[in-house]
Amino acid sequence: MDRRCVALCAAACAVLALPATAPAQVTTDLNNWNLTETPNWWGGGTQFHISSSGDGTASYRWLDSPNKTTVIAAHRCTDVSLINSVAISVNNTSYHHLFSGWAGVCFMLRGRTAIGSGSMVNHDGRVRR
Amino acid sequence: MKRLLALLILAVAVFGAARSGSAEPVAPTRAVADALGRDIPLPAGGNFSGVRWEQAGELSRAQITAVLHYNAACQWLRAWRDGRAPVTALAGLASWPAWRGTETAKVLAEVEHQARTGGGPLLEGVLRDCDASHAREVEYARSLGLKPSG
Repeated sequence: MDRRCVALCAAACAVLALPATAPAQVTTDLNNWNLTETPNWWGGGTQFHISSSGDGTASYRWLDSPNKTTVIAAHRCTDVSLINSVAISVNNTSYHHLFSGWAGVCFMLRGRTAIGSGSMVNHDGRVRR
Repeated sequence: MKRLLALLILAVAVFGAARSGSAEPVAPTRAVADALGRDIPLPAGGNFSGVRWEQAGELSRAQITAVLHYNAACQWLRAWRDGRAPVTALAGLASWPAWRGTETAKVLAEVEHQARTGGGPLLEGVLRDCDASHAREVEYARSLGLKPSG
């Protein structure tokens, strides 16, 4: 078997190993979210939904490096109950998994800074679902 | 006298909420929500007693209204699925003013479309969310000594 044949086989195997269509997560940027030690709702309670095109999860990340530890929580639109919350450390801009659900699940985001740490102003975040 | 005092407190709460802008947080939320929810149509046996207002912190009037409307949409969807309401009852859900131009309006429009055309994953997902919420609401309403929604 020559090198070209090996390369072709490797390429074919790589293509077959890929999923037919990768999930397309929907993202929304949350610009200038001002947080204090008292929880507040993003956008006064903006409702988000798990997309039909994604993998059924909801995640959050800071786009601007946070200078405070923050706690971001997802609550249900139906009854305001808490789904889950995550603590995000200083300078962490990675996605944090909020919850796993299914297409259509409606949620709202609520955030605060760590107790005793003061406020964090004008930081941008991104929700992916 | 106690009833008069309670009515006075409720009136002050509602009047205060009415005066504040839509983005201003209001409290106590359950009293305000009860007042705001009176005009929202619900299927027979429906109510909002299981919403966890006590755990929500401060909410704006707009947010309270959006939560009430989403909860009502869930009640109508379940009523349709259970044969307690015709599919035409879902017709106006997506155009309720609480979520005009929002993601929720698009989702509910697609849910209504799927309900009229034999089903679909988004309808199934939203209904599953509504069923789970209803189970929580029944439990919470009972814990407060309130009548749960049907």
